[in-house]
Amino acid sequence: MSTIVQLLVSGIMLGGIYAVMSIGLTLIFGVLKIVNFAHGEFLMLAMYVAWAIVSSTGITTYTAMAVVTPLLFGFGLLVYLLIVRPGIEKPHLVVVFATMGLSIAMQNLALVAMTADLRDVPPLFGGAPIKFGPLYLRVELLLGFLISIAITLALTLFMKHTYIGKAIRATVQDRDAAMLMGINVPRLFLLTFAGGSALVGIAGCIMLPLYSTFPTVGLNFVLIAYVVVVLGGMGSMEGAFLGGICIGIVQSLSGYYVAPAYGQMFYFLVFLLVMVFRPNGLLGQRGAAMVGINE
Amino acid sequence: MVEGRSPASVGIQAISFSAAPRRGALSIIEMVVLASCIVVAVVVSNRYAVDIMIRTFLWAGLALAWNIAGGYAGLISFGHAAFFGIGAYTSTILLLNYGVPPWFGMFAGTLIAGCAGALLTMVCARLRGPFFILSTLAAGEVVRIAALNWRTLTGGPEGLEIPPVPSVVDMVFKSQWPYATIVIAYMLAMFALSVWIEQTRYGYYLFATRDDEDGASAIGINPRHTRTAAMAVSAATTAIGGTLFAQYFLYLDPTHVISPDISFQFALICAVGGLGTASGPVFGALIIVPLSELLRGLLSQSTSGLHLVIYGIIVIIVILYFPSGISGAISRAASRLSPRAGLPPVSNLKNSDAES
Amino acid sequence: MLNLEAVGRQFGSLWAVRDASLSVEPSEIVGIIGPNGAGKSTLFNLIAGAIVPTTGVIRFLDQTIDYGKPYQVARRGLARTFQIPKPFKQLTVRENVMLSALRRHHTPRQANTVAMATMEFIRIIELAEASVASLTIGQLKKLELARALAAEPVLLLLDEVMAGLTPPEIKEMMTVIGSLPKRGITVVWVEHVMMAIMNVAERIVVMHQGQIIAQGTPADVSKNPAVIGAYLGEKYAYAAR
Repeated sequence: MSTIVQLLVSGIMLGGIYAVMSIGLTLIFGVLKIVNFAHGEFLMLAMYVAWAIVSSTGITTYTAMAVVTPLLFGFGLLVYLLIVRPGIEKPHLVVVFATMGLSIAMQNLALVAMTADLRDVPPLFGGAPIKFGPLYLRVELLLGFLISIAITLALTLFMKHTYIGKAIRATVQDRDAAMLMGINVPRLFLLTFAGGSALVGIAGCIMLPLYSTFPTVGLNFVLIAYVVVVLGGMGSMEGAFLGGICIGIVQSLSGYYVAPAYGQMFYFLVFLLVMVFRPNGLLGQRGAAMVGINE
Repeated sequence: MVEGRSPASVGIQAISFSAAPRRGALSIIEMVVLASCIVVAVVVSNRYAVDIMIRTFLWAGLALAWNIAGGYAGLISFGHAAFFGIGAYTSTILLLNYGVPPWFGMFAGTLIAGCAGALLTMVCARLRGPFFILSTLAAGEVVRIAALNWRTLTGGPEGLEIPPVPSVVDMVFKSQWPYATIVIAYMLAMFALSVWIEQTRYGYYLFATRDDEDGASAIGINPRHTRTAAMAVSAATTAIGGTLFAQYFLYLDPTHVISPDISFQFALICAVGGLGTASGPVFGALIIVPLSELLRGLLSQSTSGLHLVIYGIIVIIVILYFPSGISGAISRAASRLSPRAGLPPVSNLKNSDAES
Repeated sequence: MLNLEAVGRQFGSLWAVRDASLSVEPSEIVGIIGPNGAGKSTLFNLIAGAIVPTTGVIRFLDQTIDYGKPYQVARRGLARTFQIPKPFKQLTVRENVMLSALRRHHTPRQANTVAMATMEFIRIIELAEASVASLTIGQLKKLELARALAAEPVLLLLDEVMAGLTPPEIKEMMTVIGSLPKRGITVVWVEHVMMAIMNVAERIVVMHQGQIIAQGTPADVSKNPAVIGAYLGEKYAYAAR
């Protein structure tokens, strides 16, 4: 009994962390309506930068966030201007292939620069898990989860009460109408892409203590991120959070009861099931998947 | 923009020659390229070069197979490695466990892959754009993980090995030449299939469905059937390539055979060469495979992986600035040289006008 | 040829079309008019097989239409135009027309011949190799009609073909449409441009708020008080036939 609770709790916490990783993606997907195949590599970059900072200065990854986040913002800006923007008005497969090329380039650049060695950071407090009643929790997992809640809350408030937040929601629903209402959509695209990348920066910092980083670490997570985004519905903050939790639980439970490798297969199956039966996600907009994007 | 012409000069497009690659007819350039492929194949004798050539033509055939779904039907799939793997594993398993010659085992793989392709399309029938692409990716991964774990069937991560005992019946050869012949035959067959599709009613129906599903439906086309058939054919022919791969390399394992990298490769070759034309995938393979080899040879000494960085950058540049790929660029260049030559090329991406 | 019996279609709680009964004989030209929101487009899409009726039965050539799959209806000999032209943008004008012809002529070569003939008839033959993007709205409408005719239908559904055309273009279209029954094609036509439809159609059906309020010759219908009331007094002078 307590095993299940333990699994559920760690699954939920893991899910929160997956959510942070996916929130940027759902924004980008929802607002720009493009698939960024290099999203995993952005995460990889964030993790490597965080690792570099931690290794050379000894501060924790959580403090390093202050540097990593703006750095990823800038990187996102650059990628948007050079690679995404030229492809925006073209058929979506242009952006798909372009970001794929970016993904390949980044993975191998990391391989060349950092070699394939795993890099990790020393655990906090010597690695002893905290005991909460019958449960054992890793500090980093708990911290990550708390940060993810904070971020999700902050973003939800942001989306509801600020002009930019409302502009984003409007653009997710109907790009043309948003333009007609005076929203500077091109500028919004830029902000959203860069902002989404910054969020990935935060995610990287939270995840580094839990996972080592290596050049192809992005591949593991990008598909999870997309599953979460699809589950939660494009453009929805709460959806991404809930979706993340679902996936976290699925992975935690299936990792224990089913062979770990099959566990990975589970969330692909979940993805396919969602695509077939509720392609707009659990909380998403009706008709989004049917109509497609860029039509 | 091509102006209208007087009725007298407008002919039926079926049999005419032109410099540029066009849908439905062989252009002079295409014929030259194909002919030189065969000439090169006959003439070259360096073992390493022949190996590159075999791989180039195999990938060309595979890309042509992918193109039927991705280019002609507009069903961009990043899970085609699954069909590739089904073909490779089916014929190999039949060979190793039951002694079935790959010449026949190939067809079993084709059948299974074709059914899988049809199933995939039916499941994902209502999905468009990125959702469809991601679903194919997920489906491919499901197959890979299944193959990785189903040890009794596939040998798991250790993979399967075909004993290198030369035998014509078992499609294992000591010399490279039989392999080269088979692979070239495959490529030519796929090329012929592509050209044939372009010229028939079915090809036109594919283009229409890809372009505007409702409009297609209004003129009597059943979009679902059209798409399912395209994917099934694409999957089945990809599986044949899988068998050839297995017989040449004599070793299979899920991580290398059913990986997203392989799926991306199919797509990238077509994107670089020109989606939706018969010659595009061939051009793409002719450029990418030898180029990867060259880069790997040049740069791996110093740092492994650098060649792929360059590869990635090339992909970005090509897709952003030459969306119709190499064959599109050739078409445009040729039609500038001789403005009366044939019809304007069928561009595969909506705003190719913006390029010129 | 075409029979609608008490056909209705509901969207949510709104009955876009209610209790519509209509019968079309071969080689007729039947026009459907009505103010905006009368349900003409819904009726049109019901006949075209694009949506499924909630109530009632639609019979085309003695077989019911209720599949919601336009291609099945199209294969039985029904062709339609789209109000906002939807040509295949990646193909030339000729290829667009040829695609429709392919339904009955299975090789591209045969279809091409039919396409050329159709384009001559509609008088857009000089645009054959032009790309769709370069056409004016009038030319696009003609293309729509050419595509519909190249399918060699027995029943042609026209959806506001006159909208956006200049007066000379309208006159040209009127002649073309008027000549269709002689070629064995029955026409059901939704239109707003009164001058055109009242002078070409033999029978007019008037819709208002989802129901058919009048049917008859153009002369009868234009004098019908219910019709005049529906249009709020809009009256268009028309030349007596």
